[in-house]
Amino acid sequence: MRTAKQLLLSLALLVGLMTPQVAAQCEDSYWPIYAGGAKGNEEVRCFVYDPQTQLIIVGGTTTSEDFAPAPNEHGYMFALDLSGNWKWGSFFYNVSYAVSSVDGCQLSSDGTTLAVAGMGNSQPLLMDINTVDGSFNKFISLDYIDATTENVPAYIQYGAIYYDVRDYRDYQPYFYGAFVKDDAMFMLRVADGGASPTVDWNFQFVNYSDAEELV
Amino acid sequence: MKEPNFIIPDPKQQSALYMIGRYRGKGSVIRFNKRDGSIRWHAQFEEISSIKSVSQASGDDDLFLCGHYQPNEGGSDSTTEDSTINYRAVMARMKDDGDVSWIITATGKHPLYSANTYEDQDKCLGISYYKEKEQLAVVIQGKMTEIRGTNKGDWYDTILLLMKSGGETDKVVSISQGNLEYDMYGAKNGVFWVGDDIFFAGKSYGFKTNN
Repeated sequence: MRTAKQLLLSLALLVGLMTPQVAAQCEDSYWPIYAGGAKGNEEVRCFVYDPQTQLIIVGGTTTSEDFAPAPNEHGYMFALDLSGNWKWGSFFYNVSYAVSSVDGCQLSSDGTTLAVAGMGNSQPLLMDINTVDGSFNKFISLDYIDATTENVPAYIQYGAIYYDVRDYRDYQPYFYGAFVKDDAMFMLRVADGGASPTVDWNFQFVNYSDAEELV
Repeated sequence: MKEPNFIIPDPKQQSALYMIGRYRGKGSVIRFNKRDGSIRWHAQFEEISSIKSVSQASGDDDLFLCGHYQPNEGGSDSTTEDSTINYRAVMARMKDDGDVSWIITATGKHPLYSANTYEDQDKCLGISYYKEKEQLAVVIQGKMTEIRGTNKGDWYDTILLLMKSGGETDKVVSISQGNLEYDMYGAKNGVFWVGDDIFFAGKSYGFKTNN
């Protein structure tokens, strides 16, 4: 029965459940859960359990046109309850640009929302999502201030993000993120307590010199 | 090559965060101050090329890390994923001062092993700590014949490893796709406990636990 289902569904993304006894058969008939398109071009890059809503949140990127609206890269997210029931699922757009990938996630510091790192319009995104329904609380696109038609930065997002909703010193909310830009690693903090988000500090990591290496 | 994979809080010290992943070509943990981003310490593993998963318990000092080691990578930034590249799964436990309590390599023989053609290939993609039971769930994307069925070839299966928090192996099971010759790819940081159940995620075509 399960083998037949595998062949018929031809889906690519799985979320599995095992007991600690690693039984030969899954105990709950809802599991495993498959989601994706016929191409099978879905990757999971965000997988987290929210104990407050008791939902499992799954996110990543897809190029299946029968899972996302088109065959170009789209970020996706969906939520399941612990029995495997589908609760919500979304694709995200930033005006005319798709959120091309969801690359990582982590519950916010108070555990009430989900911070999500991704890419949109080839730029890093810092997002905060309501896990109850997948709606946005925050959407921040990091635009390179010196970008021109000749100077286009190339970003790679690996998913590092943390949203501290109440800093221990000034009680303000801050996003922390990191990504690679033009082969250099950057780490930054975005102050989110004012009228608009502001980069609070930003560091580029460079390799140690030979002398520093010896030390 | 750099991979800033995670930024996580220190559960015991509000002023500090960790950035974890790959830096200068090695698996790295960087502890820094929230206030100004200044770095307190940077630990790099000589035998972890990239850290792909991290787990910590609330109120705990320790980080549980896992990733892979590419021993022949040398100074290049090669990210080749074909069968000629040797990968080994690695798990480690680290304290908040950067000291490593233990580090364990898990790998086995490729079913078609031939030097420089079919190398051993095992990567750790997920680790999750269950503090109350002092147990770890580890997900390895691997090809090791010691664990997989005898009919398995040059494709990845999912290997679920249960470990004690001291690093001892408790149980292990291979999760394959029956007779399908199809890679199963684990999700980065793609495993967690909910109560006594282990949930994991990845990219595949189906799966079952019978070898």
